[in-house]
Amino acid sequence: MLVKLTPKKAFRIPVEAENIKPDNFAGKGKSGIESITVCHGNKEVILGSLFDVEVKGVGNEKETKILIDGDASRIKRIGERMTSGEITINGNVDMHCGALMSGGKIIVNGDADAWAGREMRGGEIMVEGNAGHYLGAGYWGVEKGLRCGIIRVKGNAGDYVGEHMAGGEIVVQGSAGLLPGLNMSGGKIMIEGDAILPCGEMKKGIMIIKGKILEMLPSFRFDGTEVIDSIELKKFTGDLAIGGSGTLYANFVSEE
Amino acid sequence: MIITDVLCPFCGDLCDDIIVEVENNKIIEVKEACETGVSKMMGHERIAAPMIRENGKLRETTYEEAINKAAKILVNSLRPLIYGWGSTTCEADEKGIELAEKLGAIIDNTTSVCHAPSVLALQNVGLPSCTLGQIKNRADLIIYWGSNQAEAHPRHMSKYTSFSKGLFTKEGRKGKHVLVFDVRKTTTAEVADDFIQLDPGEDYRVLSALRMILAGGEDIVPSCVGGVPKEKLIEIVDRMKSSRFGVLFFGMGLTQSRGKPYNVANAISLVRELNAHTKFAVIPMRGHFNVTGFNQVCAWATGFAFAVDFARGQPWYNPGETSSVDVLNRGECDSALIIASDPAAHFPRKCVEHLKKIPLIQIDPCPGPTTELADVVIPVAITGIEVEGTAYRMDGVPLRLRKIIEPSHLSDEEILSRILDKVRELRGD
Ligand code: SF4
Repeated sequence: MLVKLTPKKAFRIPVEAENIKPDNFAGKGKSGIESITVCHGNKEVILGSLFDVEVKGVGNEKETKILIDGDASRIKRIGERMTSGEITINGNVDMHCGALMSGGKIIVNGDADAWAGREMRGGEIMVEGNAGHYLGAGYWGVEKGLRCGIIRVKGNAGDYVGEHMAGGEIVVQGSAGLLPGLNMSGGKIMIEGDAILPCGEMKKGIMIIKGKILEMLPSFRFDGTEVIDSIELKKFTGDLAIGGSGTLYANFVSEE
Repeated sequence: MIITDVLCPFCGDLCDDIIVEVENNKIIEVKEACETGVSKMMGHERIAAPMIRENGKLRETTYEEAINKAAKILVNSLRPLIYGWGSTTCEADEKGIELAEKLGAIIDNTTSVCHAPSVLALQNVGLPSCTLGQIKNRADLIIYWGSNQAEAHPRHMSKYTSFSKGLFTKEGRKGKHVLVFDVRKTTTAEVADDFIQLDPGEDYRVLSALRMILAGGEDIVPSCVGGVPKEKLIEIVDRMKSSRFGVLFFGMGLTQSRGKPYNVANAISLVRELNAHTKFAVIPMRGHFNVTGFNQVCAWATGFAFAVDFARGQPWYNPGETSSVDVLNRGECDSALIIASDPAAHFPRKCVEHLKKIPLIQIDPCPGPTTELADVVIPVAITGIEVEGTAYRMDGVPLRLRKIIEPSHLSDEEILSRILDKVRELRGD
């Protein structure tokens, strides 16, 4: 089952669309999907008033693929709590894309704004462009960010990648911003480019930085070198300021 | 008539020992307050009457017309923003939150641009704090981090910290050690015993180094961190551990430098860990006299201290998403009500540009840059001079603001109640 949503216009006031997910669309026809509600500012509206809806075939949530054909840079929460199926966004997407999802796949053919994959429990997110801040992180005060599943970003990611992450995997092919892996307690983050002040207050988990650590925290112990993916990387343990035992690998640490 | 024990409604210190002389419903003299406080209490230029913008010009009108117009703008908005609350009472805050809920608006206060990181941090790691009174009576180690209170809170050092004398601090300045961390030598740093100059943006790293040393791992710390030599950091940790009662005050130098909430969380965690060795407390240096009050009221009314979005009916809080600067920067909101604050004077340019484009309502006693952009201007009485009510000092102590003279205008609370009534009427509920 394939559902194509084409935004009728570019939104300035964000649409909150946690209802856009295969779980809600499965088995429904065009009019059924058009009458699903989303919020536009403080008004509840039906999907059909904001999007042109096309439906091909029928199927359960696992077989449901949603295509958002256009700019979703003001559509928040797409795929929030989805459990299976697939969503493709042909453009940029707004905050909380795939937040709390536990299965299925989201493909963003553009940039993803902040909090993509927030507190994700399973499934996969693939961002072809850049990701904003708090990729795979936790909401304020939540003890666990990403728990399971995988997030891949082809471009760069913003600050606080994997903040409070407890499991799962994040791969950033470009560089990450400030304090990636902050407070992480498990899982693995791979940054192929550079990063600044990685792994602050890290308890457990693995961070691999194939590029440079542009600035290093003063509370990590150098523990020799190890070969990973056929590159020899420096190994550090920390964050010792909090008695952490996480592992940080890096190719190069910039001198002050 | 001489009135004693008046509160100064200006900065977060909320001095409560001001003496005011009133003659014919006019303040003629203010004693004990600092220069800033005196000037605030003696009065400024006021907005005389309500105004509405027509053909690009503000024209005077009645309260009724201005309130009706404001209510209409708000009711017809999909994403209204209600912002300000630096200098008004908790009673007005309460009304504002009710209005925001009714409208499905975002409500936010000036915390959003100063101490938001502090609130976020304390939600994560708590806040081992105390009152200013305890500090006056007990503290022998005073640390200011990124806070130039000699200018922002002029009486802070003389009333509560460096120069004050209390029950167990009878020697005053002589018995205290004052430490200042900042990126430049401020006026506060000039009267300190020790000034530690940090490289800009290095707060997080220096705090991590201090925690590492405190945890006994000084051998891991490099020879220089963030511009501070390791020996100096060790000396500071020793001093912290051997103090009788230490206190760390922090300002926007810490909250607004890179890593924002995590700098604060790191500082709070350091203080928490110091309590294994001695008594240590931490206090954010809050700016306007009742920013703290809004956070209190908002937290007990909605569960969150600021940046609350009622668009979905129930409150949703996510600084970075629902905070005013972010909402304005993205050009999201389609109207704004500004009360007891002047964002056109201190918001980033892009935010002010958006305020210019949307219908804007201002509630304030005095004209300012925001008035220039406003479509509806509603003048009010001055809180703490003409209106009484509750305010929270920076250390979270609630105090009662007094009414010293009779007002010439309606209060914030009254205006908000009337807008709320009108909104209900327009909505038909
Ligand atoms: S220190 Fe602050 S509260 Fe005290 S008098 Fe000065 S401005 Fe007023």
